[in-house]
Amino acid sequence: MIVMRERRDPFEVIDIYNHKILANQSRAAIRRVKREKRIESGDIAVFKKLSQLLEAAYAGDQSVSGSQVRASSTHSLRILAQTFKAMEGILRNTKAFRETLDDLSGAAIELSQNRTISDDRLDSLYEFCCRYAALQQQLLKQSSTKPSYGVSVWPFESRIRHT
Amino acid sequence: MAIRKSDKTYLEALLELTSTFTEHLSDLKDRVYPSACPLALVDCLLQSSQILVDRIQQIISSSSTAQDGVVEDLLAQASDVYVFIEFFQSYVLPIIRASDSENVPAELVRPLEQIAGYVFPGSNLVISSVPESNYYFSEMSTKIKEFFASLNLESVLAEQKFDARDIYHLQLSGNPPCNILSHCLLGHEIGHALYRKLDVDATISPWIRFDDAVIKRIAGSIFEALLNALSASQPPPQMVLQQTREIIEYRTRFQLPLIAASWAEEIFSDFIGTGLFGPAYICSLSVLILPFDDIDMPSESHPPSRFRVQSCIRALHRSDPGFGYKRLADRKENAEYDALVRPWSEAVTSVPHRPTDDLYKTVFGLILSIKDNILLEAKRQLGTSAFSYSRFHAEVPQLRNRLIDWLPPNEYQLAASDQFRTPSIQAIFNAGWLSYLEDMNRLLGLFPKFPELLVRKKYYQLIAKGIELSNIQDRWETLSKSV
Repeated sequence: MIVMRERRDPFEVIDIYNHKILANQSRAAIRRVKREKRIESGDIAVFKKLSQLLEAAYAGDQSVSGSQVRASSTHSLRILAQTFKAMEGILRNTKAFRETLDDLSGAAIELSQNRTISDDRLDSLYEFCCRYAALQQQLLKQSSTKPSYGVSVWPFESRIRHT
Repeated sequence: MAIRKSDKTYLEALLELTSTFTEHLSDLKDRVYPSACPLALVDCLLQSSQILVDRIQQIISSSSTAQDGVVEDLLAQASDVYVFIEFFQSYVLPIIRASDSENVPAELVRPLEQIAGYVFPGSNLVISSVPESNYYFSEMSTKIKEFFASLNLESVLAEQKFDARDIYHLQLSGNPPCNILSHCLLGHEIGHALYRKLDVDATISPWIRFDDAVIKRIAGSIFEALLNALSASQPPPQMVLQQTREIIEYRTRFQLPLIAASWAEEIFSDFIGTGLFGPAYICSLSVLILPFDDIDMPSESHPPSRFRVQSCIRALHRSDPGFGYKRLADRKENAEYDALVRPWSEAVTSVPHRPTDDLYKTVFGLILSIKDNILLEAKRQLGTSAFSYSRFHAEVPQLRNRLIDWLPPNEYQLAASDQFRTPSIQAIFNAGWLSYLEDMNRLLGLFPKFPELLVRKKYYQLIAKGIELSNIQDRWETLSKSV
């Protein structure tokens, strides 16, 4: 009996690690902005990456909000799905989700342009980064403990994806 | 204010982890690899681990005197170091271990580099072998660079000249169902790599569209199923139900195109595999995915297996759009092609596919409508790398004759100029499959005293030898031309 295990491509997992590091670095950068009331030059690059992530999610939302859903970019839809999952539980309807996403994206863009924002907006962005980092951690846990499409026992179990 | 005791313990443990990581890397440095890339990566990581040890020591000494807020920042930096080491320790070091010469057959390295080179000329490979029936081919240098950059370690890559390379990770199955013949599945993985590298998504994604009414209907049926599952005695408040309905609809809005996009990528990759290897790809794919019970069951990432094989056969068979293998005018001319494709064609056409799930049914309908466009795009991306019918017809039957005589499929044709003509790898794979399907009984009959398994093993070695000789010949020809 041969147990065949599906494993996630390590270089797809690296995206999760990169996102986790980005969320962690963003949290640290937001803490520094709150503490020092200014944006350090090294943190601008971090905020730029964070704003790109949120803008991708925003673009994903735009592409699914019309009367005809179109997958203009798979990447933006994936980021949207993750952002939506990260905010699960705190937002009870899609309108609130959209407004929050818009605000978070705007806040990250302002920070990336070396413009300080209010403490409330910093707190919202901080909370999002905490949730996003936790989601990435959860995804990593899944990818290391559970194979991507389940374990199948060849040739007795019916289904496995190989390629 | 001083650092907490628990945080200090964490930092000391991280230092130990980094030292262990360095030890593992030193062990990997002593191994022998059939290609240069794994060792270059080990060197980069060894240098990085030394820098990271210094950083952690610096964090430990700074944190003992730093203020609360700053300590938190230092701990965040330490956490990023941990993430870096965790990734390489858990995912990359096993790849490097599996890519040494004890795991990867050295004679396959050049041929595999050649196959990858058809689509990605000049690419460097890290080839690893795993026991599972899984194949991967993905670009890794860009992501590695990004990862190193997030920890300000780009200079290490530059120093080892790793930053200028275009490196792909190629994972081979160590136990494929039909041994070396199954390696044609790499064609599919090359398709994925092409899709990502050349941003094919930008062309295909705009074709993926769903009407609002369809989404509302699917979300409605999911909501109804949820309601039925809820307890009737204690129904949730109306407002909660309304919000749940909205959330389900919103999720369906991105779930539907995401599934469609994944299926489109799979179909595109299948078409690339079909174009690159011809009928041999269909044989490899079918042997791998058709033996499972339910070949009509889709998943979020993959369309049903029956549909995949059907689409590949249709793509190979037809001319416009397609690779034009079926020449209806001449039955004799079709004999080899028919022998390679008919068994799988019969296996998948016995029952027509009908997805029952509403969501999958909708995605399936869309994929059916854009399938030909995906095929045209795959053909466009392949260009002259496709294995054409004329090459198939000119090379495969003669190579098969060599195999029947138990000779490596090579050096088969002396042209008028007295030059040997080197057969392509694709032709060898096709001849290998053809003989495997048509002549195996005859070949087994040649060695009546040997166990069947042993004869089959020898047969696969014959194919590998043919590919190896073909490569030597190809390199010799290239060299003699340059001289």
